[in-house]
Amino acid sequence: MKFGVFYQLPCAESQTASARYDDTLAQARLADELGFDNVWLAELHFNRRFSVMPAPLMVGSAIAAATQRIKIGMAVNLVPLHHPIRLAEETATLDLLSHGRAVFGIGRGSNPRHFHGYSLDMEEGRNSFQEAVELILKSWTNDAVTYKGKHFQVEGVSVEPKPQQKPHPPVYVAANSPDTFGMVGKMGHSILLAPMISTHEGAIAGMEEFRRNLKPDALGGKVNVNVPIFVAENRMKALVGFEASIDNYLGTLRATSHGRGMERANMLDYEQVDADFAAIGDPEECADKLRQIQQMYDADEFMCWFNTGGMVPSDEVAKSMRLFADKVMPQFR
Amino acid sequence: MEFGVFYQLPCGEDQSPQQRYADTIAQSQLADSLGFDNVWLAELHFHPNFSITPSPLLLASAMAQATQNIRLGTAVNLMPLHHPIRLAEDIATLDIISGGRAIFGIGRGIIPSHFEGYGVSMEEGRQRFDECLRLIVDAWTKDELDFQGEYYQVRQIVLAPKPLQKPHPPIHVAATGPDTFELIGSMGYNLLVAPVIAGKQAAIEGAKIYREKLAQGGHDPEKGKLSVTLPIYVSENRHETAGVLKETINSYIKTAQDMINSPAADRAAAANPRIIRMQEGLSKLNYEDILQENTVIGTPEECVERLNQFQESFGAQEYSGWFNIGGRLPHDMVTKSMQLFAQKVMPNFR
Repeated sequence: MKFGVFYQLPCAESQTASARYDDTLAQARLADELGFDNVWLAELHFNRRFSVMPAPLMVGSAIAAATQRIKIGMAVNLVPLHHPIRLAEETATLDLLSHGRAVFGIGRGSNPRHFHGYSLDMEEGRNSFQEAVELILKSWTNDAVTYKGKHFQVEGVSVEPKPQQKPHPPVYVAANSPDTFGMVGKMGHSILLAPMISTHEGAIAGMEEFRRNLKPDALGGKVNVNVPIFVAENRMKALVGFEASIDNYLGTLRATSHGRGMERANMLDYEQVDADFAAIGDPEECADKLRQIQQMYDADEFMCWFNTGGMVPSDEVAKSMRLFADKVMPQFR
Repeated sequence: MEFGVFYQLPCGEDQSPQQRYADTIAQSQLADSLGFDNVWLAELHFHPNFSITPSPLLLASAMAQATQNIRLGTAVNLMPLHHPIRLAEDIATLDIISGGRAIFGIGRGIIPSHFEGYGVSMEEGRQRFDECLRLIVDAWTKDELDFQGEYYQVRQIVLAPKPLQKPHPPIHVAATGPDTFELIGSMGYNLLVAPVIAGKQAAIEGAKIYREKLAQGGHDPEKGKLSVTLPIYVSENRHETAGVLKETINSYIKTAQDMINSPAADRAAAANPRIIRMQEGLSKLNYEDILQENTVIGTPEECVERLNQFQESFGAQEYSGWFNIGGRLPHDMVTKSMQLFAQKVMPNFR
């Protein structure tokens, strides 16, 4: 079982972006020391209270310089907002700067505000996803790439430098929408689940699609589940410690989401997050919860979200991470 | 006077990209400890023998972790190949990660294969440059961004995070052709020029025009910074190193010529006199001329004298050392030369 730490980086009025970045870098170093396998960084735009991290590859590069062994993944780069050639170049650069520790985590994007800010049509952007990914993988594995797609056409372009990992960094795709799961399976990549967003029913149904479509020679096929986590000496401490932060997350989610996301946000409250989606409590309670979730999805990896909402003070986050690494992780190794 | 170190980062068949990056980060640390003011990183695509830094901002972000004081600039981000919102976000992120040390260096690009690879029309380069620059400055300085351009239209977008430096990181623009010098001056931005690329006389003329246009545009000519990039190599014994210096300069010439004589360049040249000019200019480049005209190479005393001569012509605010033009000098030769430069040349200009 593998464990990663996830960052989306909300920044409340009372916080500064600089401090949020400093904390994240410090926690990435701590995660590296504690034996976590991955750092996962979200790409989100145009909403400080929800996230001040629009450029996770830049942060990944700083983390690469500050850590020794932890892998550095995006969760996720919003592919339609990137030029595929540039995304290939940047991910390859991160792979080299980190000596082969990059993980290519990608998604189709679902926030209309992001597409508007980039002057893009959302429908078209989401439809171009598969082509973009195909082009990027080809550009990594061919000296020069020629690609004639509906959305992208390039001729004889040598994307350099190539990634250090061969044939290329592992590919993880985020799936929340029903039609994405089967697509990820067909593409043969690993999958990132966030049941709190997609609901357990949606994610379980989606995983059936994923597995039915997964091609037998797939390079990927790994299942990674995102779980908000807060570990303390006892459940009461943990519950109290996480409440304001989760509430802040749900509040910003309600204020910023659109369509399906907003409906989902309106349905959630702290009690339900605690009951169904998070691992909050003493180490044993957290381990039990993770075992349940692991069985539900036959998961290979967890993406631990130690500061959902961003309001947990950094020393509390560090304490929770230490307890988790000390008492919970060993039960799954 | 400020001093910088410039990297274009070629990677020959016999070199490894990992090692080239590792050496460059180590040299940025050394430059930081020696008191250099700025690191400048080029953005170049698709020709690894010429450069393996398509993503200089990622490299700068790694350097931000490895250094304390030195400022981190791009020389230059090729504006028409970027989405301006993303570039604004990337630079703001670098500024925060580096504690306010980012410099935004930009150019409109001149290599046809770059434009072809990105599917961007070279003819639109100038227009895209202007629009993107306006959009980026607006995104950094306005709480809420409303922008109606030809290429980009956005309403009520809030860029997050904003850069740490207020109102925004310094902006430097690269010039190669005469019209660009004028434009940068009248817009009041700082100027980056590399005589190896622009030609020495053209660069000197351009710098003059730049100063005039600054004043005419209502900008304080004292505040416009001119940064001149020159190949620099300092050694107490130049005979020992002459062979490898010649090799590395020749390698620069050959790889630059290969890049600009691509099929993409020939296709673009038919419609674009700038490219023909550049192809002609590059075809005439040779080791002797570069050495005589456009370098600071020699013993510390000789280098001081050369720099004084350049300074008489340019009146620059910064010289940026291209300490490994061509990328063929071994790491330890580069670091020795940087150390000698910092100890024996720089103090004469501070």
